[in-house]
Amino acid sequence: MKAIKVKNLSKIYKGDIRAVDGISFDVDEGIIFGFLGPNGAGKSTTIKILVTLIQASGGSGKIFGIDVVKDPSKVREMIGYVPQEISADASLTGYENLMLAAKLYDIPAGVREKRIEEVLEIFDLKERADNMVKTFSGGMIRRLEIGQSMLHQPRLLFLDEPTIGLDPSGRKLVWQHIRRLNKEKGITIFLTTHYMDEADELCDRIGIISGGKIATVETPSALKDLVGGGTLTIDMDLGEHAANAKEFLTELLQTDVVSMTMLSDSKWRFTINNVTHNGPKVIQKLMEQKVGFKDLEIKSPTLEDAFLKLTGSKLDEEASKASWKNITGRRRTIRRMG
Amino acid sequence: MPSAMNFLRKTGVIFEFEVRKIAHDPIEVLVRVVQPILWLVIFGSVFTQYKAIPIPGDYTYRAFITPGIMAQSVMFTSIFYGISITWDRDSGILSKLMVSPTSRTSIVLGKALSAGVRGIIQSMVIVIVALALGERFDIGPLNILGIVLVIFLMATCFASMSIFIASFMKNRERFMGVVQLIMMPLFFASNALYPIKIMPTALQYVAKGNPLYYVVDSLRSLLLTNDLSSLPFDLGVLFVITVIFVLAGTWGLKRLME
Repeated sequence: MKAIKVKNLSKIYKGDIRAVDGISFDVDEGIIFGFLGPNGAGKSTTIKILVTLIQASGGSGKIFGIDVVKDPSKVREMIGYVPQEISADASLTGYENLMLAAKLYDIPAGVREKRIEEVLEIFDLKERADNMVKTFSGGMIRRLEIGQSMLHQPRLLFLDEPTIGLDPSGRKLVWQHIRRLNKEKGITIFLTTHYMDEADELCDRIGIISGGKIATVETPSALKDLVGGGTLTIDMDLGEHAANAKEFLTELLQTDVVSMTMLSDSKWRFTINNVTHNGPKVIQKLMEQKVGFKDLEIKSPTLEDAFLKLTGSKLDEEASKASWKNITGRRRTIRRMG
Repeated sequence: MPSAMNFLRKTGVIFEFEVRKIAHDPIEVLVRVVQPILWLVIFGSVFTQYKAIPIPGDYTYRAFITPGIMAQSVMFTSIFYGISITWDRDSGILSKLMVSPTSRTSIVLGKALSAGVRGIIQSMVIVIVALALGERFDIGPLNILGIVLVIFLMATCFASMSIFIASFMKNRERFMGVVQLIMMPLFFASNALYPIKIMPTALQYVAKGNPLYYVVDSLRSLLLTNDLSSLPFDLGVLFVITVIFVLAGTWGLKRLME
């Protein structure tokens, strides 16, 4: 059975603003699935519909076969949700936050303590459990929040921008925890992100979303293959062929490369399909011709390139404006809570 | 689990953790008692001396307004409760509560009831100050129980009214403005500081539609006069208004998410 099944889902706000514009996709049980797109692409709106917070304007969403509109309370019991904004209560202690979640999710009194201990252990929060959350770092708050969301052992976790506003070491730690929840506890994970590296690092499948529409759903490597050209840059000693380098290289490599550019007298860049696979063949051919190598660089296409190709816009540009707003907003939230 | 049981239990959980927050920051509650004490000590004492306002019965003016000041102080605290809901909305706290298997009404009622705990603490301080100023209240344990009930009821009433109002406000500044605008009329168009008999007739009708009137009337009968004849009616009206506002607040909570 599919963990998530979405069909023609849409959310239209006043003034015909289509936050989500008729999207369809499935998520298999047991994987980490990511929505990658800039802020305002419709990622959070989709999550909010699926976790029963807001109503869709059209279409349907099913969680393990259960319709989110028809039976929201059943859906709520099966899922955990960590919103993008800070959702741990700063005026309670870490332990109290966990106890609150445990009680709201009807975890029997006999096992509450044990589950909370376990979560504190997993997320490395034991020492600070009795401190007020307003004294926690951003990374600790995030870990606490993910801990809260898995106390009731959900089959599916929704994480909305799980590492937004965290420093690099905090992000790495959160990534580790997400992977462990998926691998060791078998929890299916649906996350949204506007960070390329995050999607690449964590996700088994990625849905590229922009302007309320899904461009495609693929594995990270398939997405990169979509772009086609990786590059191979070689600084070489052509020896006797140096005088007529262009003719020599064209003749030798025309079946293997898409295009070639001369960067300097000895330095050439080749664009090659599926470069990690075909690049070595090119190198071997050159070696057979007794070409000497001084320097060599292979560059696979990035998700960034895939995103650009699929949506026609650069994620960084779109996101940088929006995420500034986002981060300042989030900072404000922290300040107010503290 | 039967849903009625679950509803009560979840309301209790929300209430419990709101009270824990109060316990973490007791200073905040005590600061709020300063203003009502000033009313009692300064306003009450001055008007007691000059007997400027005719009051029924054989009490000082200060004793007469003690229940009124209790009601005012609890109302002024509860009526700002909506602001904490908008904070919870802007952070992810409210989203997370609403995604848990917890009824929306439990969330509103649990939070609103916790305003009652603040109310009880404030009222106790006010009564102690009144006693210190030489007033005497001749009441039994049943009266005290009744007072506790009225304070919880009114705190729930005004806190859920506040949540309802907050659901219409796009930002906190506007919310503060609107609440400031309505709380003074609610206070003055009531029997907190004077019997409504001395008001113009039109204003008397307004006062009868003001929930605070029923609060003060029942608190005054329980604390001061021991004439409980109008108490059932007062409590009935208050209860109905409270139920209406809790349901309106629940509806407001759904609005807040959209």
